[in-house]
Amino acid sequence: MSSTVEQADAQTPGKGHSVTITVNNKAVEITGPRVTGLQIKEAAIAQGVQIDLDFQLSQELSSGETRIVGDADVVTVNKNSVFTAVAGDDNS
Amino acid sequence: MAPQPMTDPWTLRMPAAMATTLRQHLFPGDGDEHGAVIGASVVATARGTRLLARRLYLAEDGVDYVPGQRGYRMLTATFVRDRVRDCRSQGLAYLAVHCHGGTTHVGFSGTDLASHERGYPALRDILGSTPAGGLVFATDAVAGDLWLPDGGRAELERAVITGWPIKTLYPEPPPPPTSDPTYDRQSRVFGDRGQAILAAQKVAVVGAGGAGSLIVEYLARLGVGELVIIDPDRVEETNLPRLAGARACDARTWLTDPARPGWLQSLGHRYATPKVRVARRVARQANGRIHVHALRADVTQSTIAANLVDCDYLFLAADSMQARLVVNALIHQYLIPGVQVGAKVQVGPGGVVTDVFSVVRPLAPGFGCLWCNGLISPARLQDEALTAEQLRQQRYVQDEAVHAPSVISLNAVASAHAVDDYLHTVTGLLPTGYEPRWRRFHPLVPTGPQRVRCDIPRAAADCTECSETGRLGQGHNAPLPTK
Repeated sequence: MSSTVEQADAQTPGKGHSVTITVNNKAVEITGPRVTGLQIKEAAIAQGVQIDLDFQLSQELSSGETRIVGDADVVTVNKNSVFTAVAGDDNS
Repeated sequence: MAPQPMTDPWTLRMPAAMATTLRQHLFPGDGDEHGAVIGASVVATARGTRLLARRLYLAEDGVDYVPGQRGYRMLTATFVRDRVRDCRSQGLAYLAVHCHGGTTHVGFSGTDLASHERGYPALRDILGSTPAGGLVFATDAVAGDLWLPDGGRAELERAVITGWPIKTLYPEPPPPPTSDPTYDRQSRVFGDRGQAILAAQKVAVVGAGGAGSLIVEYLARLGVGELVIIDPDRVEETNLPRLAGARACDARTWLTDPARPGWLQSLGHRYATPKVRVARRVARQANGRIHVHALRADVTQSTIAANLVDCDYLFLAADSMQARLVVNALIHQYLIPGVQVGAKVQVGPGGVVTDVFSVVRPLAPGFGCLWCNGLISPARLQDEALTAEQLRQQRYVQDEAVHAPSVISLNAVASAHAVDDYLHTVTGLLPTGYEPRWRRFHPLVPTGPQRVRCDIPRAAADCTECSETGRLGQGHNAPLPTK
């Protein structure tokens, strides 16, 4: 699994081949291999994953660690890439 | 046991020590809100679905529980993410916790529910096969909003804190029950609500011999609604003096008389009444409305032990180490309070009685473990696993025809105290700060105070049975030590 994250720069993410990643245990097809955090959430929402754009996105690494992926961060994904997206839990 | 679908009612069970930690975190006296997460095993049974609190994650104020974006406070997304990942990896349900003011009534606000609508579908997807949900506590109340794996949604009916007393929290006090004139005299002690609690209970009695048969009668007469009675044995003539409700005909004494031919005696033993059938007869005579499951079987069989996972209380009145091992595991693994009872007459050389005592050992999840108090002998477990022939070859056992001494009054002392403890703990009559003790009653001790001896059980931090790193709250996520 790739573990590189960069800030969006001259390279335009989202141009390449289709890859199926996992977001909240749901399969999400996205054009990779380089995508932004925002693109991952947009693709997941478009394919029925029940999250909002302002949820916190994290990549689950093979080491067992997680890494937060910001909206503008670029991550290289492949078929083994796993993400979680959760909201904070507001209480009255 | 075939897996059951998750169905209503949904209840939460929590060990007393964890409940105390959570209470101190939520209600430190500052009148403010605080947050936490509970990871809970999910046990679906025919009586509803139980959430067994196994992990408690306290949210640190200002770090994990911060000023809200849409409400007053919030659990941060990072805290939520890490906890839901933990729950997923351990097969647990995820329950976010916060507190409100008030005492006996509590409910979610519009802000709370909007946050659930927004965030819990994602948590449910991440968890996969276990629910996500939220709990809101007042000092003596709890409400829960559960998002189920099948897309459904359920409310938590109640939470049971498995200490002394056994405390039940509801979103609001349940409506008063109707009076039953049959129980007029005893309900004057613990009220119609106490009587209703007893009627709703499912209680197991493991071992229907001298102690177990008395426990069955006491529970039935108290008005307990449902009993599971487990014992593999049939009535023998020597049981008659101390087996409640047993008759000579149950032992087939006219066939088993030593004067009869051997084949006739064998027939008599084979067709003697099972002890559980006598116990069922006693229970029904005492209480015509009681529901009795009489299982002529061994609790160490996995299919039999599975009948106990949805009980409210377990009485262990069986002698074998394997039965102790299994019931002890059920208590801690499924968060079911219980008690071990027994009576013993020790005989020395020449048949001289050296000691006589009755014992009552209250057990609650996470407290009072038979294993870490040395009351389950690995050597005897090993012996019991051998066949009779293997035992004979190793010459481990005495002549099977020689029975240990036993007297009904000794059993009655232990049984009455055990049922009395049960009654007072489930009906909430125990005083605040009640400290349970294991008690031994020694009638032959000449001076008063030593006739009743109290032991404070120990708890090993790394106990495989009762600790948080062991079975505690594991539910179906760990196998029972059954055959």
